[in-house]
Amino acid sequence: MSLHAEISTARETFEVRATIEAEEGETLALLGPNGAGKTTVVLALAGLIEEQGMIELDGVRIDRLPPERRPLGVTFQGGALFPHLSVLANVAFPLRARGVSRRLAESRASATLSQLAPNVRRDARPKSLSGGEAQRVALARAIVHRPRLLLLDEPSSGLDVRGRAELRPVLIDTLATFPGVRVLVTHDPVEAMTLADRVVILEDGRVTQQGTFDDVRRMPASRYAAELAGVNLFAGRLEPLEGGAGRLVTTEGEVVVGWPEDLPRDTTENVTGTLRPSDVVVHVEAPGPISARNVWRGPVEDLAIYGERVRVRIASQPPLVAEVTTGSVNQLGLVRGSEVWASFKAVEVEISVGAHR
Amino acid sequence: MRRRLPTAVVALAVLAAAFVLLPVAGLLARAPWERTGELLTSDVAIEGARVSLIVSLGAAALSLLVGVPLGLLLGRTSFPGLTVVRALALLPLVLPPVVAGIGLLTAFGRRGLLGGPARAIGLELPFTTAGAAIAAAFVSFPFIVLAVDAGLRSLDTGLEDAAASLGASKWYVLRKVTLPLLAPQIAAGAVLAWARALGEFGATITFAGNFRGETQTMPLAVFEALQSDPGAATILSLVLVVLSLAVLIALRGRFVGVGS
Repeated sequence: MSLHAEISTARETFEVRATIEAEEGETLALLGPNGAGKTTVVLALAGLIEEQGMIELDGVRIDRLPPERRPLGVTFQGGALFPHLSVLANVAFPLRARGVSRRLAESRASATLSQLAPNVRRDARPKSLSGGEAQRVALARAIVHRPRLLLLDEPSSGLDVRGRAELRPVLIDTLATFPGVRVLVTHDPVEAMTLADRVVILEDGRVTQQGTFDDVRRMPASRYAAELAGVNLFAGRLEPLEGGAGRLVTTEGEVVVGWPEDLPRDTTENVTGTLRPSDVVVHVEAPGPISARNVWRGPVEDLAIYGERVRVRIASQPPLVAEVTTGSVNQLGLVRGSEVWASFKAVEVEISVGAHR
Repeated sequence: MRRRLPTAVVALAVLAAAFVLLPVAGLLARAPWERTGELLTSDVAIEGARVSLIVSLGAAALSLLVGVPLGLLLGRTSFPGLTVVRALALLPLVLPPVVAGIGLLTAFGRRGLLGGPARAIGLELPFTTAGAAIAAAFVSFPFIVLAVDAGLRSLDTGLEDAAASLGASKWYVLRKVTLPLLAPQIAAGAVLAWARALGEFGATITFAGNFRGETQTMPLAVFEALQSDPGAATILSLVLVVLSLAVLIALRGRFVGVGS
């Protein structure tokens, strides 16, 4: 099973031309900044907007089919659950629309809900659900009719830390077990990195890069790609420390982080921390007493210049990427192999809870 | 929080309330209460109420039948001449009802454009109960069109897109998503259409005439009684006041976008 799509749409001043390919059993992340045209691609794949391109699923053209005849399961931003239907009726909807009897549709919907949202009441109205629960139900509704292409549009956007934590394991399970092509649309590099095998980067309606994250990291094709590839990612177990802090224990070392406000102060597994390279300060001598809780030491492994900025890869434990100006590089006399100290504050590390693969 | 208003505004508002209240008070004051029982059980009242009920409910049903599709068309499509069609759809609201009645006669009357074909299939409209219902529907269906059109504007089209992407045909989306979501607005529009049909006078008397037990609705009965027995007219009028007020209270201002 595979997807080959050449999307081509033009609406007044905005134009999207993107070729997207995904294989069966793989999760493709469609990643891009807000306004890049990601949702336009989703709508085009689903047949909900005028589109002149070519969409082939399993070698069969589906681009001239009306939306209801395309074998897709889509979750929309915010869930788009039907407010006038119960949770069960929402999930049964794709089956009922295909003429499945009410009894059979509801029993299959119920089985899918047991897997994805066991704690959500079947007769509840969508309005009474939390954001995370609504996305779980939306996910159940998108797979209940066994589509061949699963299309998730920003599943975690608008969710708080707790909502994301609730949704994440379900997202991982669903993506891992869905028998077909999976496309995850997101503007969150961490979500893309942790959930997808490959990434297509969309900027201003055009694909600027596609490949694995390693490809993007090694040779970012745009400033945006460089920025997202350089995100420092730490994954491991989070343990409470004194004074509102925590210790993120990874296989490569430990990171002191700020404890998320809405997380109970217990040791938590499967925690991901991200740190922007621009939040890392580079020193050539051991810094004196400073407020940063993380001060690491290591040799400079690589310097990559993007315009006025330089990305410094430091082989510390864990490794770090810092972003500094070309001026600082000259001032500090940084070259490959320089021994440096890198520091950052605990609160700069953004924490999300949920399994990491 | 309620804000305080300038005294002048409050004074004018009280005047407005009195403007509505005084005629009602007048009806109450001049009604021959000792004849209430006799008048309410009279032939005129009972037949008038029966015809009014049939005509107004029939008109509401007809209005829904034509008003909902027209509202959907206006709210969802764009074609050359849309503005003209929208104006035409609202024309019966501004037209003097008697003009509407003459229009209906020239269209469906015995010598009207469609009078011949209608009679050929056994449909006798002018001066029949069915004709009265059609006259009332003609002036009341714009309420449904307006309600559907306005409802569509505030509807989240993402839900209809979601339904289509989940395998629902256009017809299924309309039945299971669009119309249920519009149900509150359509219901409010239908009640307004019904109320308008209940009070209809000019179009009815012009197109359907004034035959007791056939086309004589309450308003026509009131008008006729006024010529011979003003007291009876007052009592019958009060019946209409009570009915109309009950409808408005039941709606709780929903049709103007306030209330729950």
